[in-house]
Amino acid sequence: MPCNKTFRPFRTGLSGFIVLILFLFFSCLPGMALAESPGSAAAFPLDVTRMNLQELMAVKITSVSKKPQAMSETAAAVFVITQEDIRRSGAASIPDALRMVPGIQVAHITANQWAISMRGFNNVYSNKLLVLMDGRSVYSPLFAGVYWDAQDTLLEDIERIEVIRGPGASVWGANAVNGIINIITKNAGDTQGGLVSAGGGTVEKGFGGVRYGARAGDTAFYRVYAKYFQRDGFVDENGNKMDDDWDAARAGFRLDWGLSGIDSLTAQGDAYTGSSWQNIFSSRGGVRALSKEEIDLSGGDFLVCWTREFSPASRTVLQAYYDNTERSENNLVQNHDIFDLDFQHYYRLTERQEIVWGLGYRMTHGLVKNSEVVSYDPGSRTDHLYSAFIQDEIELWKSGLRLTLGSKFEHNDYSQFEIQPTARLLWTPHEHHTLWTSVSRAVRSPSRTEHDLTLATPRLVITGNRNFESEELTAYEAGYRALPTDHVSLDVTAFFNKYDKLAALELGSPAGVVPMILEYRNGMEGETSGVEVFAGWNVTSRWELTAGYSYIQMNINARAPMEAVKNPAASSGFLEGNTPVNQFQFRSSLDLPFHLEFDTAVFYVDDLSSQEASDYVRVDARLGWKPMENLDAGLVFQNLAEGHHKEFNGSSGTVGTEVPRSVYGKISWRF
Amino acid sequence: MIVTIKRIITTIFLFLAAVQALWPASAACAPESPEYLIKAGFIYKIARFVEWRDGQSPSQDLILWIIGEDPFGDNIRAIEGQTVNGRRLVVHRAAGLEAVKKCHILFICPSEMERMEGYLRSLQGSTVLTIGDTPGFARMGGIINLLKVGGSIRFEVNVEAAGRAGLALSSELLKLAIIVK
Repeated sequence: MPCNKTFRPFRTGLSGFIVLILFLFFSCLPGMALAESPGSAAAFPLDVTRMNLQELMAVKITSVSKKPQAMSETAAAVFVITQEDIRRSGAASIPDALRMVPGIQVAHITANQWAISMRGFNNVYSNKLLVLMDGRSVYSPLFAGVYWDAQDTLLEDIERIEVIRGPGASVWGANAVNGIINIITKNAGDTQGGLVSAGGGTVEKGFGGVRYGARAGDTAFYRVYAKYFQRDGFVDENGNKMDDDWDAARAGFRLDWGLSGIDSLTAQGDAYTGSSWQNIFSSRGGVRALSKEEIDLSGGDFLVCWTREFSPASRTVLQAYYDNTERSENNLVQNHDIFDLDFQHYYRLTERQEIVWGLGYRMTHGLVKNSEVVSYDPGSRTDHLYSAFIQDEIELWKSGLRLTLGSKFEHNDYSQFEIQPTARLLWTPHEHHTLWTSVSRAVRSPSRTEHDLTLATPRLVITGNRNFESEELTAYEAGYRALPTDHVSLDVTAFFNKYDKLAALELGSPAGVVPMILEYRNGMEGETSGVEVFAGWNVTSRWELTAGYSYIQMNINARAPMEAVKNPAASSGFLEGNTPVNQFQFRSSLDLPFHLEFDTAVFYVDDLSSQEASDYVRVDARLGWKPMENLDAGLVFQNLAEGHHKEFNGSSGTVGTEVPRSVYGKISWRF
Repeated sequence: MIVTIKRIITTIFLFLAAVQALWPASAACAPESPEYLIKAGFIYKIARFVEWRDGQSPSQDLILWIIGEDPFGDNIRAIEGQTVNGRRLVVHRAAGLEAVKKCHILFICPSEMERMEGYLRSLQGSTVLTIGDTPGFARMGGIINLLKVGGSIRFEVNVEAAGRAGLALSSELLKLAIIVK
């Protein structure tokens, strides 16, 4: 390469990517003649006679160990939200649907901002969660958190959302510290024909979506979709309308192609654009005034995943994606390109031993347009993440005792080399009872913000720190799952998490000097512990009840006595006060005569002392009508309990708003 | 420097892609086939949604023939002898259609690809649920085709062929099916 100083990594990445895709296509050709090999064994990993057709069609639980596995056989706290759960909950967005997960913390900050976390540390910048959409990581490399207003798809196309509470770092890697949310869309073969849905109401001012799916040849299916929504702003503490309304448009496609008996290929892509309004306080001449500011967001992604099944006991998956995020707000304009390659190989070594290993590479190119207030040094940077993982699952006993050992090895440009091992033990003493326990280590590697940020206001300066290290977690978990009868299910998980080197802003200037300088340091440590319980009861074939409860206790302290400064984030009790100690939910789903459906949900969320938010009850109800298989109408009432309630404070100058009572109607038609 | 690293990485991944593409299908002596276990499950569950209007009493066995090179192996034991709507599922195997006697369900293996159309023709007028897992099977006149789409199994239904065979398929089954004709 010539001595060109303005090296543009993104271009290199993209051309390499195109080469790779071409390669994928051509290399598939010789494999087409190969036939599947016959099998012969007696031990069945699944009892297919007890599964219904939908369950058989869904055999492909991939999140925990990156290989298909039934949920009851997973040594982790897994919860699955199905498409039917989403439809009947009346959820209009992905964060809304996530409230169903026992133990998750979902809080509206404004109409378009959420704080979402699991097992504590909730914040608008929650950074210990890995969120994936069809295997594509969507957390922002800037602060390791998720811009929830940019994550969406046609809700009807979601097959399920798999949520794992607890670390999944041994396979998934950095950021999978407190949990993983994996949003999985339907195979294009399952979304054939047309779909039109539209509706509107008070907060959901208007929305519409279209999707069309068809066949291309004998073994290829595709779909294309587009959606748009416009949502109204929330209200202030007195119930007056605020200006945090937002809208977004999005379109995409997915192609699923069974290239041959052993090869299958998925290609998908999306593009979106939207604007989220924020209310901000600005002071002009000593007068604090409320003004509104627009956040412009846009982005796109393209993913190719090629699976090759050499035999039932050996399978490889090669996945590549590119993702672009653009976000422009008053003090911060950013553009991030991510290019990611993943290879994994699942291999059944013997009848009792299964191995999965993989390699990964991710390149992140971030560009921040610095402003007077927010600046990053360097403004543009390219980071490389290399990773490898191996996991071995061994059946120790005929009676169903399984040991899983694994580790991820990772190298990133911030904290260098990281090892994240796990050991999991699963015991199935009876087909309806499963016990599991695990010990894992996970790290949350530094983000650009902790290294490169300078936030400068006249009185306060926050700076990054090149010596900031990864936050570390050692997690101990145990769980019990049971199906006492055909109609009742129970899932209990307990955890104890020990954190070290947690991020804290510490005083970096002599006390009393203005502006006060705060610097990111690994100044905190602590423990969290809790339980999460979920129970389901199919009272009759037409009535289903579920209940969930979670309790968490956090105890986070400074590692060493900190500088004598009133730093709220470092003072004891602040982090604790961001997470509800008790949460309770109760849902009912009832089929009525005349094709009517009546669904209700009650959520209780404990008070958040650090957010000055008192505890609240949220009540949702949905009245649905499904006169025909392809026609579905619903009237959804949300937040019925109170006129409006507060869930979380605003941050970084944004004014938090309160969630009002709302109603919307929706109709969808398939043809 | 960075460029070199990048080239190395690209090379490694292209190599991996090559490995993936050219890996010999060496594990042919695989102990187990989850795919055919799931397909067996599909046969069992689909049979529950089918009504054979053949005038036989519900106490009689439901007979499944697998013709061709049997890909199920022992996986079929997961459903063999189980009851389908009160009828015991009995499994027989045959090399070709000629050997098949009384039969409710006929699974035609991919090995019979070339003889498929002939089979389907000679089955016309008989009350037999034909199931295959070959691309195009349902369009050729087979009733159910188990397809691997992505990483999971889907099924196509040729409703006309089912009607011709005098089989009643429940709407619950059709709801989940990819309708071909």
